[in-house]
Amino acid sequence: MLRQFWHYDLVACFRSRAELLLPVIFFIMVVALFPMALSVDPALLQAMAPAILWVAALLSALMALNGLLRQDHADGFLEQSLLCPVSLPGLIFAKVWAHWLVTGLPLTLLAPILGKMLYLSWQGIGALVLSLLLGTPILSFIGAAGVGLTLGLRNAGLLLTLLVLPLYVPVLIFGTSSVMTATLGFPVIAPFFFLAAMLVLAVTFVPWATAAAVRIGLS
Amino acid sequence: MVDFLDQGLSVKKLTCLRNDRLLFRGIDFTCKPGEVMHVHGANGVGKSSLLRSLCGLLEPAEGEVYWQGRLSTADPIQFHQSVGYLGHKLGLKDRLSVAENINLFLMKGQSADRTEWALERLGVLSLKNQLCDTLSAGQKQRVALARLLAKNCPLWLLDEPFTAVDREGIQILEAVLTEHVNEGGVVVLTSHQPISLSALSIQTLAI
Repeated sequence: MLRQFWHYDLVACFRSRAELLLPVIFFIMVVALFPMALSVDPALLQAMAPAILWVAALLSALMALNGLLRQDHADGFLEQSLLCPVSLPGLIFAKVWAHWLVTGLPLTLLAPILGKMLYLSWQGIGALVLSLLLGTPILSFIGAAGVGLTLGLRNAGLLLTLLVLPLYVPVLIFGTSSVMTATLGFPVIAPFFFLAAMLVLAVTFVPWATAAAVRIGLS
Repeated sequence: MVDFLDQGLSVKKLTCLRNDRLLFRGIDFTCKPGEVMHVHGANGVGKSSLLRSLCGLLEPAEGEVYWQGRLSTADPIQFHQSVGYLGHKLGLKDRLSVAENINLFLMKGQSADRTEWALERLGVLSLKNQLCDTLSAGQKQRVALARLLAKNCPLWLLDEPFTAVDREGIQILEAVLTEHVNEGGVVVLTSHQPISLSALSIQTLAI
């Protein structure tokens, strides 16, 4: 039954392509605006590339959170799912996973092109892709907990940002530091371990925390 | 088709608070298999909250709900298998087709034929490949009822099921309800109109 939910979630996401493309286009535009505003000096862009790419990816992930759970709450789908013989944490895991596949994964796949645009070296690009691959699912999971906590509220956007951004900071720090160390040619295994540890932590705890928040939000 | 033990639904001293306001206190009733409970009362007295606390969406401040002699919170997953709830928000995804919306909630082992059968029964089989955001309010209500029928659960909790449904739809719905109850199902529904289900024992509960 969880598979069905996951599958139809993806189907529904692909049918609303415009909303899906918005975070991706936002990501591309923010990254593309920096060379125009800053300068076209390769050394400067290369030095700033890790920060630009990661901050843009983070903001774009934050923007994409609108599509997670909130609509399901508004149209009563969450209530119906709650009354299904499936576990709520499992359901939330399936939903976040589907959400990452349509929001986080496209960013990760686009990142090498944008990285090359900012004169990032190949080692840097490798580190960027791997750090985004580990980091964007963390952003989706933490975001899900934030959305769960703000479900019943009318203007949840600002509160969600305030709740979630501080929790995004560690991901940002380790993400950018991995890319920076890679461009300098140093070993980058440490930040990846930190990111992986955070991912494991998020996958194991966040579905339960979100489930509890959703239950409160529904009653 | 529906097959289960006797006893049905029984509610003991149910009390519900909403935003620190007492909605109702000490509600007791029993609804045996083959019975309909019609809950009525003015707007805002807590009819919807009563249904929500029966199915476990809302935690009651006090009191217990028993289903087939067992506490409903003792094994929520098993309880949810036998309960079908239809609230004001129908829970249909706009971006999925009518058939997909129902298939999504089919249990393991139930085939898509069941979806078609339920849609046919509610007279909306011709809409099965349409996206839900193209439907009218009454059509959506019928689809949501078809989903309930397809789920094949003995206990139905219906919040204003006759809303937005046309005259023909009301007849279909009454026929479906009668059939469900005659097979030994339990129905608790809220409605402002008096309901006429021939040859059925209807209890009424006023809050």
